Amino acid sequence: MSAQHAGRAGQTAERPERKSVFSNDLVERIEKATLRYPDRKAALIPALNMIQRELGYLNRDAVRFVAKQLSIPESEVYGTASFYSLLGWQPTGRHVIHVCHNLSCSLLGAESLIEHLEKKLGVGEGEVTPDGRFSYARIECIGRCDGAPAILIDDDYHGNLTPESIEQVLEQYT
Amino acid sequence: MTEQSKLITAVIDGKQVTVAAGTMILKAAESIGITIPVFCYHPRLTISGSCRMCLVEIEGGSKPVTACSTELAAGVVVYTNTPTVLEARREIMENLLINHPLDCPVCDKGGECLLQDHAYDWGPGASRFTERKRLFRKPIPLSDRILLDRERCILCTRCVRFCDEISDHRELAILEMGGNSEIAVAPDRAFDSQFSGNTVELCPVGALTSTSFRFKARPWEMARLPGICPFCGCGCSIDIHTRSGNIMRFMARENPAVDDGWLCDRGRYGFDLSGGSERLTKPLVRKQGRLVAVSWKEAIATAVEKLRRAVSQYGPGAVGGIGSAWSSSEENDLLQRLIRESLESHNVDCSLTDDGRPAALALAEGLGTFTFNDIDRADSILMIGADPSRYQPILDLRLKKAVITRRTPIFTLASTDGEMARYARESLRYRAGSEESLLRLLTAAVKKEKRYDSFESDLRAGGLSREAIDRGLERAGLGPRTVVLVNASLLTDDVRVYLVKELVAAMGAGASTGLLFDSANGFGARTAGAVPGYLPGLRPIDRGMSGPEMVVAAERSTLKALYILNREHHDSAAVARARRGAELLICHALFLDEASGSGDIVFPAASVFEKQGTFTNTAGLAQSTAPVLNPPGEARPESTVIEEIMERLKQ
Ligand code: SF4
Ligand code: FES
Ligand code: FES
Repeated sequence: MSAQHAGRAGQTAERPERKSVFSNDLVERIEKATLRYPDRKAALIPALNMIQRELGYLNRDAVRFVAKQLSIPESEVYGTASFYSLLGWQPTGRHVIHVCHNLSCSLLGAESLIEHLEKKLGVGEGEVTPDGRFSYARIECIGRCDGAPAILIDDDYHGNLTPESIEQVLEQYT
Repeated sequence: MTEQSKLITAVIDGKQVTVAAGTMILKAAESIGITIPVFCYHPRLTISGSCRMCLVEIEGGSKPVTACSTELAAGVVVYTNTPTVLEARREIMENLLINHPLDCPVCDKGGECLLQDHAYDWGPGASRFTERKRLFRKPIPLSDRILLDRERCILCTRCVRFCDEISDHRELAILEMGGNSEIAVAPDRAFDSQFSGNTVELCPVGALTSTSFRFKARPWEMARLPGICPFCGCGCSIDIHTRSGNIMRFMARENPAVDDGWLCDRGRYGFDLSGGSERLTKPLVRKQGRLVAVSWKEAIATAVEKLRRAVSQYGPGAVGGIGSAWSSSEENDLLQRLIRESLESHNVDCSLTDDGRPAALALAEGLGTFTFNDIDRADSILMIGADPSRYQPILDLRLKKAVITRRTPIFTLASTDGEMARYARESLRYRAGSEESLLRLLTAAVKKEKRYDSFESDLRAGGLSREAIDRGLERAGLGPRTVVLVNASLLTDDVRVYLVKELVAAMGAGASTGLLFDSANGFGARTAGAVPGYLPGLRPIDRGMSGPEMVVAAERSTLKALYILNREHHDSAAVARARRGAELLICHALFLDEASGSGDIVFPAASVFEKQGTFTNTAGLAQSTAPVLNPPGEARPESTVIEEIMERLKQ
């Protein structure tokens, strides 16, 4: 998923700054995360991760919020966040399926798995199923080459998949 | 002796080279005339070592190393042209060109592009890549001034490093990773640094371009002449690129004494002086209430006759002249000679709204001695009412360099918000108008005098206290090489000048003082004598009216004739007030506007790019410029006109 969706100078008119949409609890958790490191800045990825989990994705406000909380330039927050494919910029389904399409997985049938998945879910990459249950995205090697083709649903690994077995896996997620 | 200054000897391409230990192979090679191609390396940025274009071989080494980031070790034998090195360069070029659009015919950088040059010199000549190149919408604006063509970018990060290390505005970042990487600003933000134009110059390819130059000219069509930027008191060195009588762009020309090779956007993009208006091309003289175009002969004869009549009728005291802090020293010198020598009046100043004298007094008293390089060496810096980020932008970069690279402590005292406050160890705000009390208190604090005077209560009312000042001085740690920077426009009377002098004296002998002028020649107009009470060289003479006094006198018709240089740089309202009572108003102007149009005689002037002149920057550095354009029509440099009038007045 491309970071471009977060908007860009000259493309999107500046909207008035809204009041923070981030809960006090989130602010507190981020603050607590900073205490774990000698440098506040080091809490950048934990903070982005917390927001991704709470909101389901990142956006302009998230970038600004984190930049402010951790005293990091917004550009750096944006650059770092966009580096990670597990951080996204679009609303996702309740469960996010990341399908590895890197070398091992491709050799062992990642593409046909993806084809099957698209048919089964009825959506393309980055789209959310009408019932809001799933969205899927391709991802590079997730370190499970031993179980290729492998996928990630939320935080869980699933390996050695076939079009048949993937359906059973999906059923575990409601 | 430090480790750095130890010398080592090695061999590069069969040539012996001796350099300081710690020198990178690239620089060592350069010192003996061997050029190694680079992309990401830039001498004024930190080393990134990411593009791999500079690979060289070291005898006995297992693989090629990057010359830009590898120190030359004593006794090693380096080769920059082995088959392995050439092969590496070919591969790097082939890789870089995979995604590059090769749109050189419509690229502004064409002709001065490192990618073009290196492809020509080192590229494989053919590509084996048959897949799809990455495509982007082109260009995207990063700001009103800067455009980005992402598919041309080679991700050298020069632009990012500039924003991180030099301007410290940090607007740019690399997004995504690997083959998807691209340069971007944060969501809904613009690249609005006032130094953004430097990245266009730093970009080795045509990825970053400026809206003002895009598709305007090919680099090889332009003549390049050295000049001095005329848009603030810093006087940065520039190269002026012209084509068929038009200025196309300014480029930086490195001058370590001023600009370190950078320019601010006000200077870089300010060259269009016209604002869209038509230039004045003929002298105008008022006849029966209306301005009509006349010959130079007639215009000058009229000026001579009317000036002579004003002096003979009302006496020399009824005549005055206004030079300009934006005009050259030569022009200001001629203006004051016209008034003082030819018309025998003492009424000379360089502004209609401010008395130019106190700052001249300050210079005469030995203040204003600092150089930009003093900032590099300063123990600490005390800034009073100064906002270089706004008025002397290149000085802002120099101050940041001191803070970032040397942690030089800064203590700012200002009545308004300024960017430098963020870099200061201590920054205090005072109420505008309480400068005198502030200076007294500062001096008392530096001298560690324990007195509580009336001025202190004045400051307390403005929210400032002796304790706060003591703390600031303590944190900044004033030392023998402290630099004091004072906003020159705070020097509104002699008392303030002497207070600054006392303050600096209290700091000890090594301290240097900078008077920060925001005008291109605020310093030089004064040393050229275009101020009340001073001749050129700041030799004292009888003091006549100041500019503001002349405006009042003209309005009351006690001043009858006013001669104004450089109309565009004077306050229109003040011109209008003077006009109300003055019998004779003569001005040199580029454009016909309400103010110049109210004159009785209007001389079409030459712009700063159309004549020779010397400008003294705010650090006292005098620099001369040569004309790069011809004045339009019959417009003429002011100096030739004044000289002719003086000549005729003698007859
Ligand atoms: S835009 Fe230019 S300077 Fe910036 S990374 Fe790309 S090639 Fe380098
Ligand atoms: S390639 Fe799919 S997990 Fe490594
Ligand atoms: S110039 Fe050495 S790695 Fe780029």
